Amino acid sequence: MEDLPEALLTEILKRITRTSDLNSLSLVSKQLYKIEGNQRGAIRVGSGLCTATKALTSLCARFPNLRKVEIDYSGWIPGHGKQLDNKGLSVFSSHCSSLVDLTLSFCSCIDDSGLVGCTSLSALHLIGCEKIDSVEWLEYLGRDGPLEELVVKNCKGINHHDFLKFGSGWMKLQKFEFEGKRGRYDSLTGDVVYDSSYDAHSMDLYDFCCESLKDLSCNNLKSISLWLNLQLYSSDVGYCETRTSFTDNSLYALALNCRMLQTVDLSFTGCSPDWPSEIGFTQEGFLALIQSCPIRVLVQNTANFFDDEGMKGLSSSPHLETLQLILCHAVTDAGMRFIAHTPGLSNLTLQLCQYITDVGVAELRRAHKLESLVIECCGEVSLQAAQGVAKSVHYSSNYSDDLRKRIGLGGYY
Amino acid sequence: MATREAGKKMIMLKSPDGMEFEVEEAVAMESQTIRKMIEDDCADTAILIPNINSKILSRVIEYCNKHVPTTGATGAAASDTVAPAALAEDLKIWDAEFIKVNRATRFDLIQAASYLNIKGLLDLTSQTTIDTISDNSLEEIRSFLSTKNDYLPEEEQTIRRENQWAFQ
Repeated sequence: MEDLPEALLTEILKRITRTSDLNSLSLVSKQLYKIEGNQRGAIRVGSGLCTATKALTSLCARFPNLRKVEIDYSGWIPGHGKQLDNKGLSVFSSHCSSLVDLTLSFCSCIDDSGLVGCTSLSALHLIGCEKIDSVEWLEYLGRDGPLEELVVKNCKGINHHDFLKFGSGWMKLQKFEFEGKRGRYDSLTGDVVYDSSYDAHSMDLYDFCCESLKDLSCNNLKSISLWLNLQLYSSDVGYCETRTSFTDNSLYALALNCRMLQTVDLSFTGCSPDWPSEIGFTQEGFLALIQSCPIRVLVQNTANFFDDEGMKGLSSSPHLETLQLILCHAVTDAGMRFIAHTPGLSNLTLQLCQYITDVGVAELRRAHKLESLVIECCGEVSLQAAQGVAKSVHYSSNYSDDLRKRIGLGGYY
Repeated sequence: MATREAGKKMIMLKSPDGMEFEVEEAVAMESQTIRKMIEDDCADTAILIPNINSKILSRVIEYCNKHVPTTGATGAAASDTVAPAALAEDLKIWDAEFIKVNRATRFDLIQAASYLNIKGLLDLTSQTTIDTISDNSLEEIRSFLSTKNDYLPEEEQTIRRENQWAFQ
């Protein structure tokens, strides 16, 4: 046998992950160019992309089976040339018939009308897209699209109450992640940027869930991740309060309407432990949610309302497997004693939790349940105490990049 | 079906050039294709393996012999005494030696692994081929795949330009 048949060549090509290898293969011969083009399912483009319609059309023809397209203009400067605009995006949406997963990062030439054409997507990620503001596209995609995953981060034109417009789309959605536009250092200096444009009389997403559409539920929503900012609420002249938009009512609505919820990730960076009422809901409401949904993964970031009693409540949740606590100042060793007995808990991450000590970690050792334990920047926990507590232990007294991002140091500025 | 060696079931494999190989059923069943034949009761006497000559078939059997799980009748003791990590490391070294073959043999092994559906062997042979592609120049890849450059110079230029952003 002299050569490999085309089917086998394709098999081998599918396993190649390094783009430099794919690059050289496409130059070997026309046959390999074609095989490589046909098997390509994902592409990531950005600065340097030739945005002429002809070039884009030829790119789509070269890769007819693209399922996933990522357009990333982070680090773009005007010297890189024109950015992809609505017209360019429509080349992708009209020529790539298999396209179901689209990520737009820092695309400053794409606005709402560009998104309106993308009704066949099952996953859409928007990161730092400044031009997207009116929310018509949400209405379109909610009504006509099969969207299952929606991630919106750092888009200054999109507020959480805009998701009202998503309407019946909520019934299909499985994963929702939202992070509002953050100001520079807003969690560091205490110089919090309030969203003064907020109109207290308009409904927000969570009120919407519980009050206005009783028939509409988020039956398929499995994962929700929210970065909750402080909002200025004024119900009366001369009186106003700042708090997050999430209230106990929102939690009861989630508990009632999202019966499949498995992953909950809540961030309250910017809220201060000195003002617990800044977080608009209570531990009681939070535990009601945890007890009504099959929560497997829980992340709490700067959750000042959450204390040892909360840990006690969590410890009886039958599905909880993974718990991550970041900057949770009200959780102490007593909380560790409770959580150690959670039936299914196997992964625990503690970051910047200053009131947990070696004594609390010893409780985890005694319960002997954890597969993995991560201790990062918890000053009162020693390496010796952490060693051997779980099958895998990661201990560090330095901030990792991920942790910096989580507490608002670094990120998308 | 012949049975020998302390009750171990044996299977006869035949190559198209007339050679016969008697192997343990467990070894032969490393191949999903053969497993299916056995399970569907299509393997009464000997199984003819088309397209795979005796030289390649014997190498494939050698591979399967080494990779058949050692747990079971006699293997239980062995796997208790040797740590799994050490065992995996030993297999890796063995694989690296096994695949030191010329180009034609490697392509034959890929085709055999694909036809017989032996995942481990297909992974091994494919990865070695990918490594060859990574480590060599365009001309070398062409001669390795025995392909000719059928691009016009300007066509090649266009693709090179497009590749600059098609492969970010």
